[in-house]
Amino acid sequence: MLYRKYEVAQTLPEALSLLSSHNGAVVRPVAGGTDLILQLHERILSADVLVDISRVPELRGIRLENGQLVIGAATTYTEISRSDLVLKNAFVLAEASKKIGAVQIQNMATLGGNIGNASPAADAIPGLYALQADVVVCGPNAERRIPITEFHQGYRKIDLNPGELIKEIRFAIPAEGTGTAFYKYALRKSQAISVVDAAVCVQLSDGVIKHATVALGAVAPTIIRSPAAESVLIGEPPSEDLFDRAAEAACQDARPIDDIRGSAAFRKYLVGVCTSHAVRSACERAA
Amino acid sequence: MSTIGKSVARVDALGKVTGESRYSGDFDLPNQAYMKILFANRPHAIIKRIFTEQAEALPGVLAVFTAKDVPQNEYGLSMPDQPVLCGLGSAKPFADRVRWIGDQIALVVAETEEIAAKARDLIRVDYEDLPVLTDPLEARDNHEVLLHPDRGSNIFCHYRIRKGDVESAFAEADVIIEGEYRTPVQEHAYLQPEAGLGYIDEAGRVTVNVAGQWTHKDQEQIAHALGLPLDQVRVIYPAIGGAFGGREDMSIQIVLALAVWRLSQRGINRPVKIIWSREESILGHHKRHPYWILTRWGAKKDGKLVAAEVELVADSGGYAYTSTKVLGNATLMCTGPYDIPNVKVDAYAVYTNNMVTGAFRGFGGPQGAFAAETQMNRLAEALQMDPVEIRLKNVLREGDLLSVGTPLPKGVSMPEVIEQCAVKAGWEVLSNDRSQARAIKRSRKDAPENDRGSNLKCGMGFAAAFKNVGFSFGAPEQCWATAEIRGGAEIEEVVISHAAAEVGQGVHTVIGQAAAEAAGVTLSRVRLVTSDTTVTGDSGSVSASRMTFMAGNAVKGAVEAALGKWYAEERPAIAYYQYRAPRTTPLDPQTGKSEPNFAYGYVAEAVRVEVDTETGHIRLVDVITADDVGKAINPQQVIGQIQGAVVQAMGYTLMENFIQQDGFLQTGRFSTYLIPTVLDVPGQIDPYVLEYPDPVGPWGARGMGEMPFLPFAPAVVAAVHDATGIWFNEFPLTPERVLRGLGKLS
Ligand SMILES: Cc1cc2nc3c(=O)[nH]c(=O)nc-3n(C[C@H](O)[C@H](O)[C@H](O)COP(=O)(O)OP(=O)(O)OC[C@H]3O[C@@H](n4cnc5c(N)ncnc54)[C@H](O)[C@@H]3O)c2cc1C
Repeated sequence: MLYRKYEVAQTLPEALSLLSSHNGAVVRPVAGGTDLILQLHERILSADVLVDISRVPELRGIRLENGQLVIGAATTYTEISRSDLVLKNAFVLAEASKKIGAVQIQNMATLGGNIGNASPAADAIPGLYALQADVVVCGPNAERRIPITEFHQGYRKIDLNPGELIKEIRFAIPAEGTGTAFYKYALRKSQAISVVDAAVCVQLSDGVIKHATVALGAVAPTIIRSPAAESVLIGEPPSEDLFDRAAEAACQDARPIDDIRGSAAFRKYLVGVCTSHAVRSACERAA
Repeated sequence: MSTIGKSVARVDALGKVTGESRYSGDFDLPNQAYMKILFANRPHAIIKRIFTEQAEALPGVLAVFTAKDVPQNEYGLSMPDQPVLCGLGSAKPFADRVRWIGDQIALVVAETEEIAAKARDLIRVDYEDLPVLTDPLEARDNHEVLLHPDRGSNIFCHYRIRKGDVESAFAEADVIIEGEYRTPVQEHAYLQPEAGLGYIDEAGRVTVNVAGQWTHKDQEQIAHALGLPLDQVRVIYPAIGGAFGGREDMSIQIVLALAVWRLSQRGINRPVKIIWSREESILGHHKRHPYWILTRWGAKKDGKLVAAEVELVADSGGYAYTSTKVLGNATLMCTGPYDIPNVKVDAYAVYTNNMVTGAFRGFGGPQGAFAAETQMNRLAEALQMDPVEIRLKNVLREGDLLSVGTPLPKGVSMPEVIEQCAVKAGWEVLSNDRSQARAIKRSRKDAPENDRGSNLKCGMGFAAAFKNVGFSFGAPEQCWATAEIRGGAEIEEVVISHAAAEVGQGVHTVIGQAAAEAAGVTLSRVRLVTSDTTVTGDSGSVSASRMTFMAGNAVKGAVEAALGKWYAEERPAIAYYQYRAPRTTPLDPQTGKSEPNFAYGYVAEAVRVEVDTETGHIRLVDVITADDVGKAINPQQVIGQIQGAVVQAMGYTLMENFIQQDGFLQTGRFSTYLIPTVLDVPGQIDPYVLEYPDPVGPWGARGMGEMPFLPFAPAVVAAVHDATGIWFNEFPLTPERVLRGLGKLS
């Protein structure tokens, strides 16, 4: 058996108590199960008890709260890509959600699962880096709020203690004049893991880039920001030449490896492709 | 009222759409046990000991079987070089060796699949590792490390063709094109992983309900390994979820029969079920052969070919499977459907410790055609000649001699097929006469122009091919069918018994149509009894694009014979009929002289691509494919085969990147071995079904299931060259390979 017991939590307190009530057993939360079940099958992970959190109301849905967009951890990609709040304020997340797996996966898989799984090729996380989001974590006694860049500590390593859950994602609504974009490079049109991807937010003011964040996926042990690309962009008016220079700068920040999806040289090259496409789209949307 | 040439609904359509059709994994019997197989997961080693005690002691385990339990521990379609189970205690020399990671070592039968898996993991094997050979060229020349030490060489097959005098001909050639090509491995990726249910039937026969391509050959191989008379073994095929050649060789058939039989000898009379996971399927069955091909072609200024010299090496992995036959096809097809007066070919099949390789749609044809057609396209470029024109100048016509010194059988349509494909793709063929052949490419109105500033470059490529129908080179070629006509004054029912495997290609429908036509009744009056060795005769395999041709003739013959009895007032009127195809002959060991095949299909394709020079992605804009099928017995099925072959060839050409390292598999699942999804398939596939009858085919039909695959890769490579100016001599054309070729990667 993949696990001994499957519990379905109906509320957040119930989920938290189920997570810590099995003494000595390996207990894991499961949302869409699109990462976890495969990993149990392949015996990369083991579990005695699974706690299904996909129906917990406190972990679901998308709302505006004091100028911040809040997305519950158990919200699916289909819900995210159809949300008016996301489409209006954080298009990058809708764009990324549409690129994850295919429709069946988007109907099951959740944003919290992508964060919890912490793959360096995760497609929803670069957008959260670019939006400078925080992860809200809750445990039996307290909540913590951690910038996503700190939450992901290393290769598949996250700042989550046993008994804690990722509750939600929060980020400030981007300022007026901001455009966001996600560009994914994969070896097939759907159902394919990113070889490289990039997420970008730019804020234009009087035709000049006032603020820029550039995040890259699948080129380091975690998603990374590219400070070099960001500093190339800030203070400049958008132009093809600028996009090329930002792309070149991003390549310097990437530290890709060889694997079956591509060589490090291929990935370095693609960092440029992904960055220039994402920056161009973001600038067009900002204008 | 004729049903031939009509797109009647498939006889199996309703069952498959509603889920009513049952595949071998869907069958269950009361009290069944479950089996798991221990694979070697080592590319080359000697087995020193196998410890099964712990596994056997696990509660719920019924038995563990190893090599010592196999009476004749060998099998193989072209030669019995493979142990059923690798290990100790059988009489087979060197059966203690594993030669690829998918070698099978032990069988565990238990109360549940879970217990069987757990017990399998408790088996310990002590190995002594041997040097691993993964480069076929090195394996060919290495006489120290031998995969099969009893053979003295890693080369187990070498064919030669010697026609004319290539050296003098090259001396007189105006242009010579040399090429070194590599073609990739391909996984069949059929929908249904291997599965089966084994049991002792009511007559005491060892029975397996499995998916395969040739019931009677499975039966023969099982009987041989178990040391049983043929009639003690029964093979049944229910619905089958795809095959493409991947089910020609044994996967679970023998071991399932072995387990059931050995259990029954121990007084445990229980059915045994096995279902492979996708990962087990990819590990456990053979792949398409990768080929290395070194070749040199010479032509005169006017485009006339004078000589071709080819050396081919097929990486066959640890065992022969059907490699000798696949090599025969590649040997014939590596010089294309062209009249070349001087030809020299040396073709080798060699053992390595890579994945085993064997039959896959096209069967050596795609590999040969890739080299031949790329050579032709490069010659056209060197001579500044149109690629269609150079083909028309050299194409084999009725009476011309093949490289093996004999003419093609009557009904050669290659020139017409090339011309019609070219015309559909926008060429103007001013003359299709050999000496004055003239063709000009007119760009189609809808063809986009290449914009200098854009990353998107369009190009078109052309290629042609011929594909044998039926077994080649002297292999016995026959097909049985039985017809039973029932009724009184009128025919009420025609019952056809035959063993043609319905692997999804639609052959049962074709057989129904053939029976209805021959008997002069509607299809609804035909009933089929299929694929069970106890009630159906030997129909041969569903391979070599042969079954429409062979079963069509067999069913026609059986019904005609039964009708004779019907008119003589026999009720029911029953006739057995064996169709024998015209004779073929093997390659002469020195010269290759032979009559290789009794029938062919002819195909040409023009492919338009758009290459994104920034991302390396290649988009197939449209595919024009002209296929001479002789007679489309069921046009809808013919078009389905063409589209399916094009999509499968597209995966082969652009996407499917099978990676092995040091004998280990890096792409053993569908998240790493990518095949096309519906979003990746060509924007448009335009099939042109041509019907130049084959003189001996049933109603003029030729076989056609493989041929659309053959010219596809070289047509795409030519189109990419047209778009970018770069020739690729290796594929799949993954974006990384394309970008490297374009010089974009450091
Ligand atoms: C066919 C297929 C295609 C895919 N394609 C893509 C793709 O294109 N891009 C991509 O990025 N990913 C892809 N994935 C991976 C996967 O779908 C995503 O990572 C998804 O976001 C995981 O979400 P989930 O809800 O299914 O997570 P689960 O599998 O339920 O959980 C994943 C991990 O996170 C933990 N977890 C889940 N929720 C929480 C929580 N609230 N708090 C704490 N821990 C939690 C679980 O314990 C587990 O360790 C694909 C997967 C499949 C099977």
